[in-house]
Amino acid sequence: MAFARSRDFSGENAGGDRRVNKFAKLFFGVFALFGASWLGLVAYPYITFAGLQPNKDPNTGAVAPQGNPGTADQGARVFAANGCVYCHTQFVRDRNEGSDIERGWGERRTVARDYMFDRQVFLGNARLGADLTNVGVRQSDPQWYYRLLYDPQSLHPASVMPSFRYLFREQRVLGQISADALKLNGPGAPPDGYEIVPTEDGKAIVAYLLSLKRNYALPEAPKPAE
Amino acid sequence: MNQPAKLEPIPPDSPAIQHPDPGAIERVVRAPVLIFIASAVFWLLVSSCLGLLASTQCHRPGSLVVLSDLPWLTFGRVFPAFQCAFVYGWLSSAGIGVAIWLLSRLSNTAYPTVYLPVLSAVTWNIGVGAGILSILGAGGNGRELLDFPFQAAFLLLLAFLFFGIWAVLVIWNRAPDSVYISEWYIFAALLCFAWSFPTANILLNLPQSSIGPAPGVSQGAIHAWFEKGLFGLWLAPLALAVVYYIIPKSVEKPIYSRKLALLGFWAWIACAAFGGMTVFIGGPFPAWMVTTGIVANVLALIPVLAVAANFHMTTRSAVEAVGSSLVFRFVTFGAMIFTVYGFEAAANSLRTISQFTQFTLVALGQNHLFLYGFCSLILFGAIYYLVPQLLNRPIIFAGIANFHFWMSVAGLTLLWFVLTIGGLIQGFGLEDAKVSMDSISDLLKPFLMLQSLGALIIFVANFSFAVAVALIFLLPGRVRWRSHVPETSVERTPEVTVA
Repeated sequence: MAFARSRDFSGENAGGDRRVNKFAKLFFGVFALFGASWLGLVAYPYITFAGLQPNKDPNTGAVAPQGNPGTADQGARVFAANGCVYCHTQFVRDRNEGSDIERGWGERRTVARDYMFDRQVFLGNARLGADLTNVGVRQSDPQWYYRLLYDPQSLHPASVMPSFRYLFREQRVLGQISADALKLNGPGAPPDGYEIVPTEDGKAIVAYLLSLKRNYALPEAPKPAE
Repeated sequence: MNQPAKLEPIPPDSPAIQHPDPGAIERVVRAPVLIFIASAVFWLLVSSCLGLLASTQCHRPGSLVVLSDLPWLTFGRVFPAFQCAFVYGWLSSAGIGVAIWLLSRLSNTAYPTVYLPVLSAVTWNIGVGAGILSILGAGGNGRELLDFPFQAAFLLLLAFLFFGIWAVLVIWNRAPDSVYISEWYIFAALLCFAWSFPTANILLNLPQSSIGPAPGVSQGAIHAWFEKGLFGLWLAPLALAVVYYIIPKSVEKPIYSRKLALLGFWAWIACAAFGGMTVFIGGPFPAWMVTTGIVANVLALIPVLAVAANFHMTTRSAVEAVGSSLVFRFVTFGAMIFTVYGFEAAANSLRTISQFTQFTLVALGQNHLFLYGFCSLILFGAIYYLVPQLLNRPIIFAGIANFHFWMSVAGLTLLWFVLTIGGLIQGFGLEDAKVSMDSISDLLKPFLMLQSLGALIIFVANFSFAVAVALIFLLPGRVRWRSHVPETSVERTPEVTVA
């Protein structure tokens, strides 16, 4: 290289040591501050929430929450990959923090134990759509979900939710109409002899949404008084 | 000498003063800096297209029926792809490019290994490209700004390490004189990104490992910590480093106060590190975690005001003289928006206010203010300053750049007002359980349409920026190197020095 600063030009090493000290101070200062936040916001919750145990009801012996079925886990992947979390949250605030409970999104606020078995937690930070913490409690019919995903505006005309038609496919009816075929009338209906059924991904995401039921009792989050 | 806070006098024969060849630094780092900047401009265009597409889908979900048959263009993939292209493709690339030059210039060292930063630029771009394609192809993680699958994130980390090692070597071999506040910011950005990015990706995105994914809602806390670190301790320091360089340089005066600069630096690091959890007010976390975040975001007003006061006092008497300078206008405007952002972030953290802004478009507007108003405007200024100088072409296409400036300001202002007002209406609606979600969607429609108008104006602004930069790149100019670069030579570098 034509120009490179000659390092011994400064004449002595004392200057070099001082240089190191300046950056050492900077390094340890930033390290300590950011490290403190790492301890508080990464290490502490990691250790605390890894030690959670499910709640066992002393009277009935029922254990809650319970793990999710495998199809629900697969559906969570579809939920993640299609960015549902950018419009839908999954946490219920207490009555004094917001209208979540009044809206019927849950009977109590959600707490850490509600998510202890979730491989991926979708808390979310935007509510262009409804909260999904307990959507499986509100709607238990898979057909409702298929219809919503296929054509959201048919259920909620003002909704800004996009259609997820690519989670469905059209196929020839072989013998009986499939159990999960969409019940469509009018111009959107498939031609005679054909039906529209959810793909594997479509079935998985609906299984996941159906599994969203955080309606068991937990002692740390009692149902608030009316 | 214009360096107020130096501890030791510079010996008269120091290389810092008798620089053998002031153009050498530009010559050495030219390749990596220009590669980073050119690719940043490319990703800015990509993200503008994706952002416009995401925005139009919001208010016309049914009209573009064809899109519902194209899974890779659905809102839930285009929107995160837009965010990641903007933050990793545009802001981070441009920030690293500018930082490479700033570090060399301020260390007064043309560290001879340019292979590392060039390799870094290439790897970074492959990582961003692979990540965006994966998101569109259903490979996204469903975590804001952590959407790149871990393979793409690994490439980004590798690229970052190439750059980081080079940066440490430059700092290590720096000329024996004072330390500039810009270098402090860049150094802090390096350290925090090197810590938070791998931590978050290992704990959240690795499919199966002995320590990940993190248990239960700790995922939310780690994510919030990462995101605040990405904004406050990676993008913000890179942008502030530019301001601390360009403003004194433009007004030809040293920074007003060294103490304010130090206060601003340390207080910002402390507050930004803890401020992330406010997105989860009312969420399933111990109360102290959220409260700490609120306190941190309010206390962050101290560094925000310290920085603002310092810039104000530095430019006070000189604004008339340099007000016409395009670079100065971009950078000061961005710096002023940082103050506005600080106030908005503090306000939106308070429980009484967040009751009406949490989960709404207000938060999106706040992000635009930070990412576009603060970081991007400053980087636009830095690129207009740097590219002609690196290519030794004094031409800057003032007409186009001027148009770019006013379009970005207009687009940002419109976008911010639309999202804030629309978001408040949404927030008051969400707060009242008697207002159904359907009627909130109805109320939001006009705002979502105006959002697209804002996105369109910003698209035009970004496009004119790309044209201006491309013209500087492509039109042949004088390629002879200046024998002397007065505005950047060390004798007249009047930034504040620290320590």
